[in-house]
Amino acid sequence: MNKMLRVALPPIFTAMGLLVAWEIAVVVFKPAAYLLPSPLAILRAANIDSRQLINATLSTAISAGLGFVIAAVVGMVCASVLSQSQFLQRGLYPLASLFQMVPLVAIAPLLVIWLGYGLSATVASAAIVAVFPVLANTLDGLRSTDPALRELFRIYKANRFTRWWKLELPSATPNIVTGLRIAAGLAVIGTVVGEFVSGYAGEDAPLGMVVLASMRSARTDLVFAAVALSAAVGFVLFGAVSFLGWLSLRKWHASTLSR
Amino acid sequence: MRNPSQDTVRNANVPGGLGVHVRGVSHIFDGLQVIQQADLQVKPGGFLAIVGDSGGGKTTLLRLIGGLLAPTRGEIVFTASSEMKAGESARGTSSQSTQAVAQTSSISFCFQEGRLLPWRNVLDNVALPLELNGVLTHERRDAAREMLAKMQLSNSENKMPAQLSGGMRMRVAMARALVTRPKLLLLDEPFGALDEVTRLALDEELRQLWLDTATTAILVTHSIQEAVSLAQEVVVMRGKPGRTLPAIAIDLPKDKSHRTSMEFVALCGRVYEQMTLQTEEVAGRTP
Repeated sequence: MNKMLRVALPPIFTAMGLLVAWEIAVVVFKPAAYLLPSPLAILRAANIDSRQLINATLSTAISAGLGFVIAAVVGMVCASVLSQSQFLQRGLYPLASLFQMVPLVAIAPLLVIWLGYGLSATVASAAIVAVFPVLANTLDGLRSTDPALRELFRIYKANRFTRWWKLELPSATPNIVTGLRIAAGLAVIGTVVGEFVSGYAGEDAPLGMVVLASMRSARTDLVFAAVALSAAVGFVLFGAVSFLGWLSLRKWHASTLSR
Repeated sequence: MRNPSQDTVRNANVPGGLGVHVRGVSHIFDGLQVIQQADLQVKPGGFLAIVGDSGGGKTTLLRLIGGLLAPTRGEIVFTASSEMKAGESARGTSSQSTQAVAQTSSISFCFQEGRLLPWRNVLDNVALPLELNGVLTHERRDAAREMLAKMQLSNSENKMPAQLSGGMRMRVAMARALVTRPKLLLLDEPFGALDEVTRLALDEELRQLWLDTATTAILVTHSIQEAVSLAQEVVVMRGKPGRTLPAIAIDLPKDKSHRTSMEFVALCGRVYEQMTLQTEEVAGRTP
């Protein structure tokens, strides 16, 4: 408990300090509301529109979560397939890195054309952004299996599948966790960017649309609120993935053992 | 040349190990000649030690015997012990898992690094060979527990390899190697990374395990004393690429260490002599 407090309290106090400084700065310098609202103004706006913001947060969270899960599964499966063949690796891995390089804002309109407005397109854009880190890190982990342990499995005449399931995959867990943590943050970014293009305004508007709509009506306080909420979604997803990672590694990996 | 005292310490109900005959083996690996000429022989249930220069092909020879590599030339022949009957249980009916265990592979390795799976606890590590051979969970865990109990490792059942000392890890690796009741146990400098005191203790443990399980053992080691203390015959491998010299018979009873006796010292001297022969003499001395 003490350790948790020692880790969590400093950043919390720092954040609160920054918020107080911000509030004081706004009171003193009185910038235009559409340029820089104060933290209290943001909270007030969020409270008024709380129902819409909560719906929006849920909507974004669901898209990001689904996109992340799809990216995780597709990334790990593809990496597992590629790890079994040098030939496939050489042919397909460079193409996979295109996922990383193509700017999402450019292909998001394509996704809308193919999948229509709404959830499918935002989930797809989340998955597209998040898949490559999972694939790259998983593949790296699978390829880095200790050759001594590979030989051990050869001695016991394990077949390819057994070797993958009982040796390569567990051995790659630290790398997989790294990839998933990166993907968690990216999934939220992908979702919000997708929402800019494909989200729809109204009752069910997701956070990305709230940002756009608020921007257009110069409601910067709502923009801040929506941005803060999407960061929160990212935090939660990242935190959940990190926690699962800690659970799976805590007993044996150097990164989690305290010695 | 069998010492009568050796027969009395062996349980006649236990099935014997494989006999191994390496005939005229030479091996080229990745374009490089690693073994020039290897000839050696171990009788079923025997204990042979191989000592020699680093990089002289000892480890490769062990892998050839273990079936991990196929020799470029020559042959390796296995003979079954006359005491062995197919499918018969090891010692009476110690557990139901014996039948399933008996079907698993008959050659086991023990490496210097232990090679335990870091994400599994001791019990599941020891059960691994059985698991990879399709033995059911509770059967293989029972067999693993039996083996751990035999080696007084039961308290460590749930520990992870990272929590064990080097010596303990090595003992777990030995337990894993023996859980399948192998007929041939191949050890590649298993105690090389350990301190002298631990090494001496593990030597005696290995001796006892060999006596109890009646498996055939081939030990590659850098330590002349270890070789002479444990093995019935010592083969020196010299040169790069390596060749085996004629085996030196160790005519000491194998039930105890005898490291302080005069005969022991003399035998170590003979092994040492062979190890320091000049290269031309090496070429001349091999058959």
